[in-house]
Amino acid sequence: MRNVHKTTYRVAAALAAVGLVLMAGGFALSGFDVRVFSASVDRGEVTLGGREVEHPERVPLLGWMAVLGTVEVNPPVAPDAPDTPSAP
Amino acid sequence: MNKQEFLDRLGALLSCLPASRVAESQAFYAEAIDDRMEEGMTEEEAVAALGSPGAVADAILDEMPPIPRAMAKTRRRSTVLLWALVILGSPVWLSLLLAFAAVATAVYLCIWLLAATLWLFAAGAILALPFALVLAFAGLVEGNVPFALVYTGEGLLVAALGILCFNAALAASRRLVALSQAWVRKALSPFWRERSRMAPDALGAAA
Repeated sequence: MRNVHKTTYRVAAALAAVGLVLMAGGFALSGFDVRVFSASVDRGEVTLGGREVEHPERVPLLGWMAVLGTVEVNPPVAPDAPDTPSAP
Repeated sequence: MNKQEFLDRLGALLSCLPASRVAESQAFYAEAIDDRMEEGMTEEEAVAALGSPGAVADAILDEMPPIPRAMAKTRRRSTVLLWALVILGSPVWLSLLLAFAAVATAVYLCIWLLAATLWLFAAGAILALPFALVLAFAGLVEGNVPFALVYTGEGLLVAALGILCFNAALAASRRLVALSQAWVRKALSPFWRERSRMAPDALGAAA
């Protein structure tokens, strides 16, 4: 059991180390732009790392997320106005 | 007083208990008397060494949890008195019992909600990896390589935290199992107690 724990700790440490290196590399490549850490889906608009994605529906799964972020509003339809009575 | 008289008197004083419990006590003290006689004592000396039947009966009753002990002692005085108290006092003891059960159940549930929270946190952290990889892939398709690298790294980091949380949740769950078992024993202690050996304290108290 102790070996299993040691192995999981080593795996977690390795994942964390690789993750930190990739994050540092991506941050440096972006020109130390903090927006590279952001991702948002707002009313069908998808922004990844500060750049807006023009056609999210072309990207697998991203289109599904864009649809999730869209709020459909159906305004009530006004009834027709009544006919005016004709003069006697 | 000889052995049979001692056991008969003890049985009469413990008549408020279930028959099996009375028989168990009588068998225990019969064996204790026989052991003393094998050591060289006479029957009367062995019986006298145990103490009076009244003291032995009181010691056996004192071993019981509070609620069964109170009921047994009341029944020893009068069975009618016991039932009268149970019926007349039912509005009080019934509501107290329900409140006690509600509190005990709530504490038990809180213990396990804590464990569930730890597991959910671990699962959420590990499941964040595929979600982050999806976003990283989307960034890569869009040509945003720095974003893809950052989100891949974030996913791996959160997954590493999730693995550590998984280990912590497993260790915490084991401790919470022991804690919940201890809580159940504590909650039941006024009504029931585990008996690992037959009346050791009663023998010691009587001697």
